[in-house]
Amino acid sequence: MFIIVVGCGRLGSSLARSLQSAGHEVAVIDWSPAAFERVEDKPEVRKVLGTGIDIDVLRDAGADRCAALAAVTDNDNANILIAQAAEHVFHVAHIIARVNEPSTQELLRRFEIDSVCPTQLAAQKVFDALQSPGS
Amino acid sequence: MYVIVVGAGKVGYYLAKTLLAEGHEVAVIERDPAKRRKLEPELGDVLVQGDGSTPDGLERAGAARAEVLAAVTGQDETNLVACQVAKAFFNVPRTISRVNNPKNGALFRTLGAGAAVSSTEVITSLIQREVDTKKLQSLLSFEAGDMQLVELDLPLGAPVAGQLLANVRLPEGSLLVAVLRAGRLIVPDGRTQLLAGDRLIAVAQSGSERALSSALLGEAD
Repeated sequence: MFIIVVGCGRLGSSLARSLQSAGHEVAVIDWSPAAFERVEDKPEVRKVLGTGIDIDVLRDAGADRCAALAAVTDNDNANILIAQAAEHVFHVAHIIARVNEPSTQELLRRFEIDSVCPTQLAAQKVFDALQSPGS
Repeated sequence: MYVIVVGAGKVGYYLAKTLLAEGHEVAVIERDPAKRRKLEPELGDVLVQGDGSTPDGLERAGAARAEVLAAVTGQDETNLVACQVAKAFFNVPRTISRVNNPKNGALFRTLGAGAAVSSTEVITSLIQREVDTKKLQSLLSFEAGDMQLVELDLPLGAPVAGQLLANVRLPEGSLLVAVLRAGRLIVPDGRTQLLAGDRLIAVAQSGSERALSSALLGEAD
């Protein structure tokens, strides 16, 4: 399926690579040309230069025909805006937003938009590792 | 009235000062310590440390008892989320967001961020109006731009100059509310005679400006 990844930082680029390897059509959006170096070796991944909080940029990337969109920039509020634009303007079937601030995640829960909180995931992992040393 | 201002940039600073001067209770929430330090001598306790787009930050600013929240940072996404958090978590009755990219104005209104104010949109519409109807000036927009307060100067030779207002047919959706003549304000009624040189102030629904203009000034050339 066709998936848009907004944000080509460490998380976004890694996600885009995995999705492409898994056989999906992928477009990444980032405002910094330098960010695309992270997916340089993946010519199949389409690179769209621009800020994801602009409806025209999302449309250029193909938001009106994508099956899924992941908003994973390092800016929580940008991800929240992008996720809502994807939902209300482009009616994307499957949307997921990255939110670093745990208390903000609740806002997306109320809007019934899926989110992932790397802060909590990492804290949980570290906690688990500390609880079971040697495993 | 208790007002929370999100963002202590230029807009936030002048907004806070104006509201304080009018006797309102104000909190300005800013996460950047450098910006807070700069305004500290003047705003003092009004400044709140924190991120106004998070529930924690707004809690600290006392959002639960705020009547208005105005999110005026330079980042549209921050302003949107601040308004949404204020509404969803604290039931703030009125939220206003500054929109920097005019393309976001419509989106913000769709997403329920409250009133969305874009200075770019306001200036653009003023310029366009200047071009559209040369002599009609918009003074103020109400209800997201559906209704305007407009003014125009009645020139010599205008078809309505010398007529009683009762005999002047104004287009539907418009109303003449004031006449300024030689520095005096006249609240007009049917017996008011319009004179060349009068400055007329009218309320007009968007779309009726052109008809209003031609009713008062004659057909546009």
